[in-house]
Amino acid sequence: MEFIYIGLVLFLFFAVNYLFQRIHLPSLLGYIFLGIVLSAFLTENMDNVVNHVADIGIMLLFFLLGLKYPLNHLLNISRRIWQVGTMDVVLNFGVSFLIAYLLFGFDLFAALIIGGIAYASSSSMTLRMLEDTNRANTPEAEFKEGLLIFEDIVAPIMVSFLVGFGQAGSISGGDIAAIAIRVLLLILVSIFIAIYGFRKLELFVNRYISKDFILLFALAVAFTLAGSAVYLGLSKLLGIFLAGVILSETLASEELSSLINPLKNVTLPFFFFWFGTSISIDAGIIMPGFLLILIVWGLTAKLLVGFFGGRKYGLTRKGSLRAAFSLGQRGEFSVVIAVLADPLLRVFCGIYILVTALVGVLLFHRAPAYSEKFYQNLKKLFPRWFTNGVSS
Amino acid sequence: MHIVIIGGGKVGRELAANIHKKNHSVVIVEKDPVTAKELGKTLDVLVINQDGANMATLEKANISSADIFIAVTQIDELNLMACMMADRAKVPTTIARVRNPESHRNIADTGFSKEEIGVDYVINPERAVALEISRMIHYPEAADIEYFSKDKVMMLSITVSEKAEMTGQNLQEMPLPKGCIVVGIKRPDGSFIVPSGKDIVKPDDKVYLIGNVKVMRKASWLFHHEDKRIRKVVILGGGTVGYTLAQMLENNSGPKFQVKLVEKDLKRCEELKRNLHKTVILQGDSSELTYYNEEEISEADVLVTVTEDDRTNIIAAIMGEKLGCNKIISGISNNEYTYVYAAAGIDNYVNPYLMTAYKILRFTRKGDLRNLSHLKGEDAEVLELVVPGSCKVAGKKIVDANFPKGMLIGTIVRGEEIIIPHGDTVLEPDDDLVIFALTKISNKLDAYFCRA
Repeated sequence: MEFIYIGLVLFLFFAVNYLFQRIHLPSLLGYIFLGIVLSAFLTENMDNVVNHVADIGIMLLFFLLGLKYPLNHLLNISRRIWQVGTMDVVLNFGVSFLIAYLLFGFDLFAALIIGGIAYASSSSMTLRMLEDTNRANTPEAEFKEGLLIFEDIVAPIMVSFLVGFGQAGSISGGDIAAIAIRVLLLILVSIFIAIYGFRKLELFVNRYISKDFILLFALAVAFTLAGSAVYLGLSKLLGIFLAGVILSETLASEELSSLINPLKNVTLPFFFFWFGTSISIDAGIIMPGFLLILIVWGLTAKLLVGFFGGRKYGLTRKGSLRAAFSLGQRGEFSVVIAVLADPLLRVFCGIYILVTALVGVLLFHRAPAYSEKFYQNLKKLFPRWFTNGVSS
Repeated sequence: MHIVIIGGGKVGRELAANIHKKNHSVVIVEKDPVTAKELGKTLDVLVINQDGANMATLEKANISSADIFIAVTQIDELNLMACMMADRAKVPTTIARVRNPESHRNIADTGFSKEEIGVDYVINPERAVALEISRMIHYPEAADIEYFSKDKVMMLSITVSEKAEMTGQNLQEMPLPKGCIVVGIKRPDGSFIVPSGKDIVKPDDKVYLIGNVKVMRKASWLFHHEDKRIRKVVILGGGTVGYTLAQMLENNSGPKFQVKLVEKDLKRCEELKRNLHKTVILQGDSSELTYYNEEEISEADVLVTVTEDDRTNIIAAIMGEKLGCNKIISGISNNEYTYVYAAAGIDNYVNPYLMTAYKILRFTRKGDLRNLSHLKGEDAEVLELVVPGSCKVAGKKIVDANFPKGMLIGTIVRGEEIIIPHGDTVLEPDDDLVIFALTKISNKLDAYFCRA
């Protein structure tokens, strides 16, 4: 029976994608809307199927991202991204938490949840839009991807912390340290495997790259590492990303990417659809004024991280502006955290995620035009700031 | 001297022309019939249109009586092979041009020494160009930079600013830091002098300074009065030069640079990302005004255009000039394009072929010549040589050595000491001299410094 549903859903995906392209809107918004509309009609079985395919879609997206980052290049980026990542945690998680806790009197756990949903930009949406808008090879794309990877390292630590806190009412420093150690362990083991294992497999992979078993081999590595990450209580996305990094050491990234891309193209729409189904907006909204403040701050903080972080990372002024306008969308990670909240707060979080996702996606698409306009205005306001070199 | 050159490309041609001028016997071996024919027409030397890595050909070139054997074809392996053959034929000096740093390193990887392979000197033009550009980045105010005496001594050329307090003073009274000297002045009207103490420096003159590296930054500042510091470097072209330069800037122990390298080939970008540790690699076509290139260039403190295509380098350099980039350095292989650079007001360019030719030319000089560099666009050279105990000027005061006019000894390195000499300074055996000389005078110096 589910096959009919799958057929129907795929047909709807096709129709929505076609329609959104005709009206010049990003197709992923179409999938999310479809999810919101159809969430009431999904059976539990169907929900499970969608959930599984969606999981595979987002995992393949991260696997492809990993394939783009050879180990040495990843280390090069991490040297520059950690300060920006820290700024991201402070402004988005920290300040949102403080606004909720100090200004609006939420209890500690609720305030932490609000900080959590405000933290991470949506990796899936950002990566998908980079491809859709042909901006995947721009300098700011590397910066955004670096920041998303950083967020995906911090996110599981944050989720584990919140789960622990929610269950026991408190969490010890030792527990957080244990998660951090597991993240470090996974990364170090992956680096070790990449250097001492996969660099030696270069000839093997390249010799058989046209054979069908190579795809099986690549996916086996990918899902094994993703599974190992889950086993360690970490994000499967971090695991599968590292699998991509490891496999890129075989110097066959381009060929492997072209093998995996079609699989991702079929499965990824299910992820956005699932994302739509997971946002609940049926109950009443609490504190709409606070919600508005939080949304405005959420978008502003990402603008600040994008711009100042981008400059710190080494982007040009225009590149930093484009990055600033491309990070507002919250997504899958915020949904995972919102599930931990009580029903009333969950609706609050749902609306926050939906609004930032919509505004974020639209800003992303218009980022080149907005940044150009912004740049020209900045140039008029601060002409001294636009002179090259340091002279005295 | 009988000199055999394998490869009649740009380096081979430049070498042959220069060596022939000095009345040495030259034979060029060139495989390509069109090039060989053209060489025969334009140069008055013997051209053999055959493969250079062939013993029968080398015998025709009279290899057994050759003093120097130079292999400068485009193919590294062929150059090494030809040198091995020349070594078997007991040629005293063999020189190979090795373009790819990998091949350069591979010589060591084989477990053989250079001597065992039969190459006395390996010249790597790409590395030399990268090194030259890296020096220009360290001294952005200088147009020429050369190091001598194991990097203890350097030469800089600086355009004199109107703001400089050194203008209007004669050289004798000039408060230059101890350890350096003005050795040449090019006036705005194009005249070039080797100055005496009474000459006066004026604004827009280009002065050539030689001295102890420790005082040169301070000395040059007295003339240009600008404290330009380079932080952001954009390199267009991820070929061997671009890659080597990025590596040098990454490993630089002095100021930290933010280096971005733009390369159009995706596969090459992948390679660069694997091998460079701090450089930001951007994929883009450097000949087109793609938006990120334009942005990167407009914010760069220095733009280096070193793609393998001269025309692309020129377009990019002019683009950089228009976008307000402070300093532009270009690699060019065709000397005829230097006029385009002059017309565009860009005076920092590096020619790998000319550099290679001059590096090799020092082997054709008598005396213990350690280094020879020709000044860009001028008829002047800087030589580093060691005073042999048996030469005719050893033990004499400079004033008594009867050196011709048009040359000046900039520094003498004696052990660890760096001396700025005057007329009464005595030249001692094993002194390491850095001499600034007009080209026509430089050729005559062999007679003063060759062993008896």
